[in-house]
Amino acid sequence: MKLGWLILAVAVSGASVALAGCRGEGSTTGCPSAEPAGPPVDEALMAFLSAARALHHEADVRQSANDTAGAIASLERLVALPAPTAVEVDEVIADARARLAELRLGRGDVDGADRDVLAGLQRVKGPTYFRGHLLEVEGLLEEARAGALADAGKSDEATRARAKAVDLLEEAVKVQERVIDRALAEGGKDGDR
Amino acid sequence: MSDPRDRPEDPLQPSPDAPATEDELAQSAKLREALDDPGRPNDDAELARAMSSAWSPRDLSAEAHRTLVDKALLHHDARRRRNRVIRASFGASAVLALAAAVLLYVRSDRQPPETVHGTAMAISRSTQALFQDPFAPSGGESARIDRIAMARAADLRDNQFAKWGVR
Repeated sequence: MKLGWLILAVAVSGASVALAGCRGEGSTTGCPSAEPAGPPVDEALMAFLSAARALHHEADVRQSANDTAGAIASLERLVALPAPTAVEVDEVIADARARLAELRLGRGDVDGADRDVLAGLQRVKGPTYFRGHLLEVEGLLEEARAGALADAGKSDEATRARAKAVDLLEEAVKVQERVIDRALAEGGKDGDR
Repeated sequence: MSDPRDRPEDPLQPSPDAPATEDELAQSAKLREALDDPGRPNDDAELARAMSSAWSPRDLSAEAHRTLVDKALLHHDARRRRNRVIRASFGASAVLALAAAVLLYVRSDRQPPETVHGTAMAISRSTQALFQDPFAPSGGESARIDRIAMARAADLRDNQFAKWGVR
């Protein structure tokens, strides 16, 4: 009888802790539902997405006029927008961070680009194209850093940067492969919206 | 049949008429004390008391009663301590389970109303499913946000219709 109660108590504790941990990881692996439940799509989310869309297009216009600084300013406004807590917001901001990083890299601001990539990676922890893309940009960034170091005659540091670039690009490929595998397993649901 | 007293004496066996040794005197003193005081542990005294009680039972003396009660309570206290430990373990497990459940509830995402007027609401979720292929190394961000905004605009429209009950 006592043993039964003990097993029950341990089972309840274990299940509760596992569920709490599962939700806290930011990854849905091993959780009861692969699709985390979120709030209903509402006006606040839509307003953020509309503003983000406008600012991306504004950046396009400025970029096409060779105004890289203006494009960066538009995207900086985007990542600073007030936003509701939603997965879509995280993914859109992560994508904007990747674009910002590329623009900064084009201007030689490697450290600034690095900051954007790291901030973007904080937003998307699970295996998505957004994370894969950020890792890819970070890999390109390290490649550029390696080139600059080699030009400066710092061959050891350049070698390390090259190795890091390869690691990051490999990690990006792995993330993308996981996304593709999952998409194939799920049959591409929601893809026709 | 011969009388044992007629047998020659065994030099290894002590004579029954020999005076008591010091050890025998000490043991007899201990037995006497144990018979006077039931609290003193002594097997011979216990046996003597049991035989005496079997032959002519009588009420326990107050002292003997107290001794027995003290012994019994000693066992009871030990068991009570063990039970307390077991109960504390169960209590701790229950508290842990409850704390985890509360943590789960507090940290869980805002739960949407699953249905309104019997219609499922579109919920916030990853936009990953909107994209079939990995992103190009450079560019394409505006096309992606276009797609995301259009998909969620359709969701919002559906949710509005669900709230109005016109779907």
